[in-house]
Parts: sequence; structure tokens; C-alpha cells
Amino acid sequence: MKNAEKLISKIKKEDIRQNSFLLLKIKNFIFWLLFLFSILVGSISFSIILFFITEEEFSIYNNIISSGLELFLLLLPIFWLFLFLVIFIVSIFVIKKTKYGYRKSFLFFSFSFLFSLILGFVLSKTDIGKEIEHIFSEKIPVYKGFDRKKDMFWSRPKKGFLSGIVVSVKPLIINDEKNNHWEIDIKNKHFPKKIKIGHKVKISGKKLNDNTFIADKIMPWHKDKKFFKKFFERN
Amino acid sequence: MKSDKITDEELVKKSLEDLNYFAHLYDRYEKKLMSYIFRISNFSISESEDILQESFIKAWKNLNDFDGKLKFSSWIYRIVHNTTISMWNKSQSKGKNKEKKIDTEIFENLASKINIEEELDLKINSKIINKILSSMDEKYSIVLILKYLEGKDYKEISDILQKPSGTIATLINRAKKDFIQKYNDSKIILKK
Repeated sequence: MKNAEKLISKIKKEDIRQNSFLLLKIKNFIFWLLFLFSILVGSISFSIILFFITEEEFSIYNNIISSGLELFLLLLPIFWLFLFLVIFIVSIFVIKKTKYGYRKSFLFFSFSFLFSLILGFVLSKTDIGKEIEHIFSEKIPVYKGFDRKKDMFWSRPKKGFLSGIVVSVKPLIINDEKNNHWEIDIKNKHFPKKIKIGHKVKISGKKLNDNTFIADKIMPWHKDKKFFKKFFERN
Repeated sequence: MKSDKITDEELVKKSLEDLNYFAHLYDRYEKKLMSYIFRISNFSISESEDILQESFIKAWKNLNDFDGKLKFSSWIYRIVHNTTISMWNKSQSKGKNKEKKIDTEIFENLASKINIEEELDLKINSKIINKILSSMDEKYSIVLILKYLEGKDYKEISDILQKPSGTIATLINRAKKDFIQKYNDSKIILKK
């Protein structure tokens, strides 16, 4: 008996059937879907990174912090940057699992990366980054530990950085993280009109005593994103 | 059934309707694939026949997944390659002899294609090439076998090993350098 005949005989005898065409297609489709999902998550991470970067008042830090590395380590959203990179690596593994994924070149992955950045940039203009960051801050306890650098940075009155919730506007009094009340000496400095009771603010200046702080600049905790507001107003 | 003039892809389509056509595909590739199994492993004839049969059963199960985007030969080589490597690694863990079988004709073919024929010492025999290939990293020896002994081009090797063409080109270059280095080292040892 020829080997080919043995093979056919075995297939017939054991009734070996072919895998479903649909199942094979679905399997491939799922990997493509996972790839697109990872690109979307990567974009959201990038939009949050942009949210952190664009809302910082870098001119203030430049006058106080001499080392760029110190500023980088203090303010960079490490968690989101880490997530963005991990998600990108995951997307490469996922695409490699698709039927012809092994043929995908460096160019394909470069375009995916670029697309993720562009989509992240667009999302950052819609305040999605800010909203997601808020949800993480409020709902996920572990996250608070990851991204509290900004809070820590602005809770150093001796160094000239103070933050807290506004409890009174005239005179300006804020309640800091440790529940200490601070009276803010505004003098002739500009006071943003939008700031109201209950808002969180960050203030740069000088500590006068244990509950008085001389303000140099008063800023809302989060910057307003005006891109879409302006866009809709125009149209 | 006359199947000599039918392409592999047509045979695959016909196999989906009539199992007997699948036997023609087996006949068409049996010798080539048995030879490939020998080249990348140290299995006996009966073991190799079992591996080939198992590979064709896998191919039968996934025949619906085969499309014209790659050659049938690349697809079946891939299945045979993966099955052989998997079985080979299992047998290695059981302590089977690692040295692969390779005959004089194969050695001369490989050596001349890598352009070291002018350096060939007549004393060198298939045992040395056997040792060189066995001592090489598997990823290097396999690309050399596919390129120079199986006559596959970069795209086919890329489809068989499921690696990008650029990676295959790099692997072949490194494998050639490694082969020549090891060949030169073996000459020095012989002269001593």
C-alpha cells in the first residue's frame, strides 16, 4: 500500500474533518479586532500624556527647577507613558498572530505608531484624556499611587508650591491636602475670575507663615481646553 | 485520474470536493518533504513517514484556511517544518543524538553554493559538514538548508518560517558567515 493511500485510508477511517472556514476567519478577525483595540487604547493613553503635558505651566517650573531631568521625572505621567509603550508592543504581538502578520514590515508598525499618536492628539482636543484621567483618579485606588506626583509637587509650601480647594474667595482661603487652611495674600496679582468656591487651585509664591501664603501666580488645577469650544462657537 | 498538469492550487480546490485528489498532492510532495525532514532532523525513515503523515493530516484539517496568497509548497513546507521541529525538540529532550544526517552530495552542493568551493580541501568530507551544520544554531542551519538545498527564495523561506523577508535575509547572511567561520576552523583542526 502506498503512503498516499495509507493517508487517505486513515482520514476516511478516523473520519477526520476539516476545520470550519467560518471559525478560521473569525479567529483571524478577532486578532485584527484586538489590534485595532490596542491602537485605540494606545491613542487614549497618548491623549492623557498630552493632557498632562499641555496643562502644565512650564514657565513657572523653568524659573525654579534648574535640571530638565528633575522636571521630567517630577511631572511626566510615567504610568500612561508605560501603558502607551506596553500597548504598542502588545499590538505588534497581536498583529503577528494574524494569518499574514509575519509579513508586516517595520513601515507598517511605524504607520500604526504614527496613527496612534495622531488619534491621541485628536482625542486630547476633545477632553477625553482629561475625563479618563479623572475617572482613574476617582475610581481606581491603585492609580492614585501611580500618578500623585503632581499633587506632591504642588504640596510643598516651603518651596513655593501650594494647592488646595477654595473655601473662600474674598479673602482667598484654600484647604490643602492635609486639611490645613491657608490664607492667600493676593496683593496686586491677577486673580482668575473663573475660580469659585469648591474649585481646586495651584498657587506659586512664598510661604509667609504656617497659614499665610503670598501668591505670585494663581491657576486652576486643570487648564480649560478651548479648542472644541471655539470650534463650535464659530460654527 | 490525470493530475500531472493540474497546479497545486487547483488540486487543493478539487481535494475539498474529493478526498482522493489529496492523495495526488501527497504523492507530488512526498520525496521532497521526506528529504527535508531528513535534512533538518535525525529521524529514521519510518519516523519521518509518520511525521509526514501527521503533517498532511494537519494540512487536511486546515485546507479551508489555504488561500492563493502563498504557494501551496510554502504552506505544506511550513506545516512539515513545524511538525518536524516540534517532534525533534521532543526527541532531543529525551536525549536522542543531535547530529543530523547529511550525505557527501548534499555537502558539496551546499559548500559550492555558499561560494567557498575554492577553499574546499579535498580531505574534508561529509562528516565535517555534518558537524558544522549540527554545531550551528538551528535558526542558521535551517535557512541554509532551505535556501541552498531546497532551492527556496527569500519570500518562500519567509512564508515557511513565518518571519519577515528582511529577517530572512539577515539570517542567511549571518548563517553564511557562521558556516564559513566554522568551516575554516575545521580546516585548521584537520591540518594540526
